[in-house]
Amino acid sequence: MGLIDRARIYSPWVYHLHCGGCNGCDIETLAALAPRFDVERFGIQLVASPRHADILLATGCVPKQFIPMVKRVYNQTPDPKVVVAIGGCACGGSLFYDEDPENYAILGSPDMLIPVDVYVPGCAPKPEQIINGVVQGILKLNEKATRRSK
Amino acid sequence: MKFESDPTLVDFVRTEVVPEGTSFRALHENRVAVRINAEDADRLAGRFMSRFNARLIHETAVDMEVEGFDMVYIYDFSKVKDRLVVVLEARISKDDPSPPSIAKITWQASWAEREIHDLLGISPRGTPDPRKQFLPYEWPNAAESGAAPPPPEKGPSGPQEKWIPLGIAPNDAYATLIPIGPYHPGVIEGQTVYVKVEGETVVSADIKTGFHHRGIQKLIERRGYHKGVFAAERVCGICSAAHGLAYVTACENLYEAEVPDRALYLRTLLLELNRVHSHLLWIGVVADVIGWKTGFHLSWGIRERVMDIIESITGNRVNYGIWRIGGMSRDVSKELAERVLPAVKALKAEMAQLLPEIAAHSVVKSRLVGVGPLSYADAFDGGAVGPVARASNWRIDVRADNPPHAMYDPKVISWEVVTDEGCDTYGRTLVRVKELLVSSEIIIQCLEYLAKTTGDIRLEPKVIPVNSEGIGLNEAPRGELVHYVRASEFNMNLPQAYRIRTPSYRNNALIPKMLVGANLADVPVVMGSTDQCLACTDRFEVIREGGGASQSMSWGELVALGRRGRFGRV
Repeated sequence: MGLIDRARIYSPWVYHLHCGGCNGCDIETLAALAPRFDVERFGIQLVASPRHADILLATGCVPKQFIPMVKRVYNQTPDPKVVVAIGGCACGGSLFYDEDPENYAILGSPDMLIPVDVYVPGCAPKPEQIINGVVQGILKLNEKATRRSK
Repeated sequence: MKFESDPTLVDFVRTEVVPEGTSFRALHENRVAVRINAEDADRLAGRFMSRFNARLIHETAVDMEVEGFDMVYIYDFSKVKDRLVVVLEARISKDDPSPPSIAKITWQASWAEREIHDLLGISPRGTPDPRKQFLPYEWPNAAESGAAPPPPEKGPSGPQEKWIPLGIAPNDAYATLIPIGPYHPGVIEGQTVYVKVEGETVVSADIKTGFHHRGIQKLIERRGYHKGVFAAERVCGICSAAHGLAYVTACENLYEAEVPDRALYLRTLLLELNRVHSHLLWIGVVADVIGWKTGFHLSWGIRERVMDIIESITGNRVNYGIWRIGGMSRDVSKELAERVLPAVKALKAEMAQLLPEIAAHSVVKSRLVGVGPLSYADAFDGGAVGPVARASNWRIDVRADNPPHAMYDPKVISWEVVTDEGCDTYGRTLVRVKELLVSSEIIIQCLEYLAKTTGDIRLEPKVIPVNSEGIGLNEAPRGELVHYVRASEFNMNLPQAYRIRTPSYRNNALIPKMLVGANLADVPVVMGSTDQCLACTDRFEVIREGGGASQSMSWGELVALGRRGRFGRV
C-alpha cells in the first residue's frame, strides 16, 4: 500500500449525497458528525465537494428529477470510491416506491443508478448504525485501493 | 375532549362574508364550506384581504373525474371569528380549466397557482408568474397550443446539458449571473438559486425547486387513511411530528372527533420536543453557514439530549410512528415522565443560559443584523408564516389562532406567542431562541400532567363518513402547516383528494425578495434564515427523463396522468 492509499484509509473524506429523501437520514448523518458521536476524531470529515470525497453517503429514494445530478456527482468523485446507502429509501425505495401503480415521481433506490457498496437499513438509522456503515465502507475502500495498486 | 363547532357561524358567513355564495355547508369545528361561482373567486379574494384582513391558507384543485375540477380556496378568518376557516369551492369544466387568477391580487397564491398548473393542468387566467413550479422550466407546453411537443434538439444530449432552468436570461445579465445548486454546501437538499450580482450586491434572484417531488399526496390518496399516517410523517424527517399531527387533525376533522385528554397532552409533548430539536438544529446550521463552527457544535450537543428524550418516549429518533387517528399508540408511564422531567428542566436551564449568549455573540450579530430584511407589509402580502412572519412583528401562530388537536388551551397550559420587531435574520434568530424556552416550558407542564394522571390514549376510530372535508392546521417548527383532505363519495377507505401545504412552501417564495440588496456572501444565511425544508416543499411532481434510456412523457400524457382517477380510469 502506497502512502496516498494509506492516508486515504486513515482519513476518509465523506460527501453527503442527498438523493431526495425526507431529511430524516440527513439529520442523523449530521448527528454522527456532531459532538456526541464526533467521527471527526477518526479523521472522517464532511467535505463540500464530491471531487474531494472518498466515500459518498447516499440518502433517500431518487426522484426522477434528481437522476442527472446523482449520476454527475458519482462521476465527479475520484476513484477509488465507495457508496454507502443510508436509510430504507436508499436501500430499496421504502414506502415511496410503488410498482403497481407506479409512483410517477420516484425512480427508486440509488443503486438503480450508481453502484452501491454498503447498505445501512433503518428509517431512520441511528448514528451508530451510520458510523458502522462507514466503517464497512472504509474496509471496502481499502480493498479497492489494494486491488488498484496491484 | 370533544371538538365542537359554533352553529351560528354558517349564518355569519352567509350574511357577512360571502352573500353571493350558492350553498353553505357547516363542516366540523368552525369550518364552513361555501360553493361559489368560479368567476367570483378573484373579487372575493380582494374583499377578504382588504375588509376582513383574512389570509389565504391555500389554493388548490380537486379532480372530480367526470364532473370537472373543484377549485378550493381556503381562507383563514381566525382574526375575525374564533377559529373560523372558510373554504370556497367552485366547479370548473375540464374542457377549458381557466378560473380567474387570485395571484394577481395577492402574492400568497403565486406558488399555489403554479402548482395546480403542474399538477392538474389548470391555468388560472392572468396569473403573473406562469412558469413551472415543480416541473423543469423547459418542459414542453403542448397543452396550451394543442401542438405536439417540439422534437428534442440535437447536440449534447446528456440529461444534465438540457438542465438549464434559467430564470434570468444570460443576455440581459449585464451584471454576473451566479447559479447555485442543486447541490451546494449551504443547504443539504437540492434546489437551484440564480442570483444576479453587481459587484458583490445581489440585484435580483430567482429560485427553482421541485427536485424533491416524491408523489406523497398521490400515495396517500391510494393507500387510505390509516396507512397515510406513516406516509405523512415521512414528508419531512425534521418536522415529522408536525406532519403526523396535522394529518391526524385533518382526518379527525372529517367526523365529529373525540380524542382523550391524555392523548392531547402526549401530542403537545411530542410536537414541542420536535420544535425544540428543530430550532436547535436550525441554530446549528446557521452558525455553520456563517462559519462559526463552535456555535454548530454547541447547539448540536444540546440537541442530542433532546433526541434522547424523544427516543425514550417514542422508541424512535426521527419518525416516531405513534400517531393514530383518534389518539396515540404509545403512552408515557409515570416512571418515564418522572425520569424525563429533571432532564428537561436541566436542559431548559442550560438553554436559558447558553442561547442568549449565542444570540449576543459578536460574530453572530455582525453577520445577521440587518441581513435579509422583510417588512411587515411584505410578509403579509407574501404570506409569510411561522418564525419568519413573527420576526416581522406579525402575531400569527396556529397554536393560538386555530389550534390543532392537541392541548394548547391557554387556561390549562401557559404559553405565549413570541414576536420580534427586527424584521431581519437576527430577528428570526431571536424568535427561535425565545420559542425554545417557551416550548421547554410547555414540555414541562405536559410531563407534570402525564406523571400525575392516567387514562385512555386512544378511542375506537369511527367510520369516516363519505363526502366530508377536513382541514388540519398545525404550527410546525417552520410555520403554519396545512393538510386538506376530502373524503370520497363512494369509498370509505380512500380519500378523494389529499393536499399538503407546508410552511417552507410559503417562506421560500419570499426568499428572492429577501435576497435583493444582500451581499453575495450573505446569500446562504438569508436562504437558511427561513429554515427552509425542501423535502416539505417539493412533495410531488413528475419528470420526463427516466433512468438510462429516455422514457419521454408528453405533456398530454402527463395531464392524463394527473387527471386519472384513483382506480386507473381516465
